[in-house]
Amino acid sequence: MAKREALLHQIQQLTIDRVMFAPIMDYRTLRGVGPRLAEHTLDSMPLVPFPSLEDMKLKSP
Amino acid sequence: MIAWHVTIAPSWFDPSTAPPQITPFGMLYALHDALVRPLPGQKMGNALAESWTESPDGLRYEFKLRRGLKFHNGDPVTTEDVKFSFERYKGAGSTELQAHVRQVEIVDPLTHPLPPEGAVARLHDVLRNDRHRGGLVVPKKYLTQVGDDGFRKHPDRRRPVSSSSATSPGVEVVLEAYPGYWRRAPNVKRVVMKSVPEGTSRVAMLKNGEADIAYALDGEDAENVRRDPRLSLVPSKHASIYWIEFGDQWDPKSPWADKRMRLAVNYALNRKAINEVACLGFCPPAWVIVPRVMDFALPDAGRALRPHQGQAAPRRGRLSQRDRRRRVRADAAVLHGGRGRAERSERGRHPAEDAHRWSAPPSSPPGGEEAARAVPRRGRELGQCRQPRGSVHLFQGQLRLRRLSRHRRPLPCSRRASATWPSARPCSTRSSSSPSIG
Repeated sequence: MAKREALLHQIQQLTIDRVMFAPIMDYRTLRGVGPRLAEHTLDSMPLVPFPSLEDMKLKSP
Repeated sequence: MIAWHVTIAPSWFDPSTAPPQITPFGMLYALHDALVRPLPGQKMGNALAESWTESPDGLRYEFKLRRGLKFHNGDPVTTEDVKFSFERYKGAGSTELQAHVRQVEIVDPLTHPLPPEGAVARLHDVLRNDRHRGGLVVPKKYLTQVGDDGFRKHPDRRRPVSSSSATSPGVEVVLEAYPGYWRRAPNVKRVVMKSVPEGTSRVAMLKNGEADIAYALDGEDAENVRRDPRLSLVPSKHASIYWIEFGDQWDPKSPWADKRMRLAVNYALNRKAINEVACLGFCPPAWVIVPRVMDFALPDAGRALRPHQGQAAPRRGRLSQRDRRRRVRADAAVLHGGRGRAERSERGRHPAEDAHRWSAPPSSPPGGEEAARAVPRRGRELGQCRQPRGSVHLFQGQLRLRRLSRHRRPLPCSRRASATWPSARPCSTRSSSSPSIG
């Protein structure tokens, strides 16, 4: 694992040293959530920007 | 109701053909399930697979299905379906993946080993990868009966919700809960996913209760949500990043072959200002193209790309506090033809109507030549001119700002602006598409 990590870091460092890209920003997509939802579950699954539909809850009427 | 920022393409219903992006997973995870996949609190959890094992040499994987799994039509989920789905996959990386799998065996109806020929990647990583859908399981029997096209119209699967209808292909999908889902019976019984390409329209639907979630809100639209105490704004934490790629750097005749040119672009970018304007400060500046939420992203990278003292142009791309206060806010109110009072834009009865209307030229083209006027703003005279591609220039004296986010005021160019930017056209068309999430 350490070897893999070192190799991946080395690749990334090369892209910087050679100025291969102009990175701008990590993108965080912004979602609006309305008042009816008690639990939106939008970020319950790691690295997935969509809700866990079966866990979503509405507020009681 | 979930308001989507993109057209919901029927190809997204089928794991074998969905494009290699994160956005289709919003639909795929609603319709299908996989052997292993992200689950709440787990980067990768056992889904249809109750358990799996990896041989010591990493060349053989064995998955054991949960007992009692059923597709919505009542057919049992078997290893035949898993094998069929894996071999049917034709999307991104399929050639390489299948070239490295020597054999797919079925041990019994619940056990399914996949022995890869070479350890190019850990197979379970591939099966759950956000860009790969070979691990999503589709029903062999049903798919063989209805064919690929029939499956995309009515995908039957065993996820918690099901597509009961596609009332308007590409625009709206209605999903009904499946109480027999292996994790739990869903709390919400019906979910409507609707394509609403216009961000302001998604916000309006959120405000009036028509939508409960609105995806992909940038700049002004996100600000509009943040200002409303009834609503909340939720930034994602997924792996996505923006960067500029110098495609011509490999051409020795191109100026981009010069490293100093590429470095100059890096120095010139004001990442903080871009983040503030487009992303309300939620998107951290990046110095390497691997998103920081991913494993093995280089920590604290890119010092070489940051300008040192004296290397950056003063106030490069930065808006002063004073200028930022002058931002014209996008709202549901628009000025028609650049004259008269602000009016509420009339929404159609269906998002598709709005999308169609807003993608068309304004019904009454702005006067351009004769409609020169300045917009009074907090006692000052600010002018503004709509530019091609939907951006807006503001001007006051020598001050000119270019807005990063789209604006929806079809104001005419003034004489002064026309003289300043002769190439600027009168307000005519506007883009209606939003960027993909991933």
